[in-house]
Amino acid sequence: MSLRALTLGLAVASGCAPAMTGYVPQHVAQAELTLHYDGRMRIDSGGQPLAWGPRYDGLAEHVACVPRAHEHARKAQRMGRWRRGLAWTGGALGVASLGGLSGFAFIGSDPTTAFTLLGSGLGAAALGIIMAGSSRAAGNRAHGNAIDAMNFYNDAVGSVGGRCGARPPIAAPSLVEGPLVEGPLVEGPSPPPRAVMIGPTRGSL
Amino acid sequence: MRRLAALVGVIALATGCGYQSRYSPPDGWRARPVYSGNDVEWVGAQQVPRCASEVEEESVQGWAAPPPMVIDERGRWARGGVHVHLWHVGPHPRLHPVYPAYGFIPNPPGPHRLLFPGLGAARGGRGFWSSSGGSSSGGGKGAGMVAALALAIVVVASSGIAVGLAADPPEDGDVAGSIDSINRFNDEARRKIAACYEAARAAAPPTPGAAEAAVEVEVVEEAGAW
Repeated sequence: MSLRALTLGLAVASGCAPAMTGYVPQHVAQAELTLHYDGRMRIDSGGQPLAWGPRYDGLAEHVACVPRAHEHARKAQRMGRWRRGLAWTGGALGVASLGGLSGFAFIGSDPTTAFTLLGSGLGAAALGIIMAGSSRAAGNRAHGNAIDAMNFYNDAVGSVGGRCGARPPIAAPSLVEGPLVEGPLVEGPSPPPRAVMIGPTRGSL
Repeated sequence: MRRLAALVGVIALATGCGYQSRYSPPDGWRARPVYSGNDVEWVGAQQVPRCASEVEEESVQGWAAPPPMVIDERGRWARGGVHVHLWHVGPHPRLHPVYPAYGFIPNPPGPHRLLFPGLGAARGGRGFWSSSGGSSSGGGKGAGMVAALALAIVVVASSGIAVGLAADPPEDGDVAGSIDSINRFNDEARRKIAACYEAARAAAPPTPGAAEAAVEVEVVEEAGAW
């Protein structure tokens, strides 16, 4: 059971569960990304769950044809990994710091050892706080980058009915300012050979 | 200097500082979520677009539009069957009013205000350094025990804070409400645009045998609104 699941379970049991999104978007383009929250940030593609925060696995591949979106999605994944690692380490240090209380066993016989243990506990707890706080910052960056990736992708491709192809075009030109490509629109399950079907000329849908 | 920057960075990370997005929404009617601090904020369009027929203003010819999008039979947001060519007729092209043929008023250009300013203020995870001043009133076991007890309390409290910070999600508790509002608004805007588009298409003269129809439509300009 993950730390998040445990926390969520405790929150539900105590009646403090986080609010979740209840509205399901009705009119979404076939590969358009939408944001949801079900105790975790969730990004859907065309109404189907695509990636969950803070790791957002799968998001970078989905938006690979829009360079800025791809860049943000990769940052989101990287920050998500940091979030998880730092949170686990910080939490573990917080728990381990309680071991410092064993110093009480020596308070009468060996005060030096007693205070050394208590001090170690305090140090571990302080380090745990720093790491846990850093994990929150990493989590915020993961969410922020993922939502930015979603917005850049939707502006260029997603909200106008397009989608990225199967192969990520590394050298694809920026679509944001490009001319409108009157190419075949992707319909159905078969993606076209090129990554991008369509890009808006101005404004955005 | 480098050490100072590193120290500032560590402190900023430790206090759970939020994310500041550099995303700037383009013109358009679609609302976007942006993560700011540790909350989701609404940027972009704030009002549902209006059909041309709903605005009685001076009409001019428009040009250049994004591809027409409609709600298809499955309820999806998809491209319309009719492609609309627009062109500008006038003394000189104006860059602002992009009025599409399918008959809605696009959201005026920026600056885009945050709809709920202040909601995204980063919550500073304040340090929890309680200063339990230990009384150093001489030696003895009593004083040592008091100091040890104080230290133990600090250890337990710090431990709880570390575990709490690690387990608590960084995002604000009401992000779901903001996300719901944005998604609901976009659906409402798309329904409105689809209705305007259908009305404009119905009003256009039929072009038999043509997959694409060139349609002239009125462009409504609201003075000073662009």
